[in-house]
Amino acid sequence: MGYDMSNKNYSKKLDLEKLKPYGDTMNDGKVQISFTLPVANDEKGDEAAKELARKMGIMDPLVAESITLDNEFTMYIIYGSVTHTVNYNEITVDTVDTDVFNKYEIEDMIAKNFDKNIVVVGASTGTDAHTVGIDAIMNMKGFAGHYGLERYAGIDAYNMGSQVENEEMIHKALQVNADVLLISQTVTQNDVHIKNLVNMIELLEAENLRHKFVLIVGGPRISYELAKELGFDAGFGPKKYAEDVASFFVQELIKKKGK
Amino acid sequence: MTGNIFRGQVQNALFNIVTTATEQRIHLLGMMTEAVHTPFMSDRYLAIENARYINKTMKDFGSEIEFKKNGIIVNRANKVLQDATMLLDEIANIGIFETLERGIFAGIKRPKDSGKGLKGVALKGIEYCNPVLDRMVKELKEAK
Repeated sequence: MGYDMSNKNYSKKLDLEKLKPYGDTMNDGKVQISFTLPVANDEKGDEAAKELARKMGIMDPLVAESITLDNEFTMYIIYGSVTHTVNYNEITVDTVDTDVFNKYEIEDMIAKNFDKNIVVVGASTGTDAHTVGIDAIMNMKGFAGHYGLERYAGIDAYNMGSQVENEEMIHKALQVNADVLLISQTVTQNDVHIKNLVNMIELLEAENLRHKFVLIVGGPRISYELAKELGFDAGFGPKKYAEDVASFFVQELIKKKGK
Repeated sequence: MTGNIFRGQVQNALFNIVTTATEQRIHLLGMMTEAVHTPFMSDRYLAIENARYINKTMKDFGSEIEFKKNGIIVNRANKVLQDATMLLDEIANIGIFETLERGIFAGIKRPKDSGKGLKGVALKGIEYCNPVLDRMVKELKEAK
């Protein structure tokens, strides 16, 4: 192909009100996407992939590769320019506003403020069979270089795994005298996670136990805003690690103690 | 895996090189989307393709390598082997469930009285047949 030296009339100016992906020049809108279609790898399949890309708002889609996975399954790698823009200036995000400390600072805070270990019970509740979320926060090895709560001095972490019923989790929490409950909802259909989370709050309130625990929910579809709305103390979405969660609950428990 | 599928592919390639160079027969492939979603069909394909590619192009790579006597790699290999032997002895003494309960594997405790129990576990019938497993076992025996 080589370089195209002809003059073009692109606006190269960054416009935050019309934000677009940056490929190799400002506002070119270039993206690369890949997906699989359950059809044979032929010209018709390529055209279907392009058509789908156009419907996603991608201009001039180019099928760079169509890879045969099986007789009836083809993976497509597509390049093109996004026609959509977003107004960056109008975007607001509600997040946990407490400070985030590292593992050692958190361990120090626990040692200074509490005579006993903080007990954390975590589970992936309801029908959700995925433990990646709760494991990332709790398991010793943690996630992406961020150690999990099991490795923290001053924290007793109980990871109950997946498909745990709300009642079962509350039972365990009372048994080990938990301070913090961590609920993970990773993959859910038809917003069943909302029903499940609401059910947890209702159970705790019915038993007059809500005040006993710092209640936290996490998952790819969970935002801080949603969590607060449902009656949780906090919610953590993607890119949050054990130290984000621990920073929050340690500060909450210190506040609670002060009351 | 972190959800960064591009890095994941590279990590897979590095593991594949080691497995091929040291002629290991059992290798668990990393799945690129696993931290985010149930792995996509395409990830399974790409992971297998990656392993095949390296297994083919680097097939005899291992036979060309000599490791430094008393070097970090040799010492580490000896230590891992020694630890594994000791661990197996310990497990043989206390049994697998006790091992899980005490948190001997990676320091993670899995108590006997929690989890899913035997729900979803079934006894194999007399007619039970798993052609995939049969073939794997056969291949492993031949490889010995």
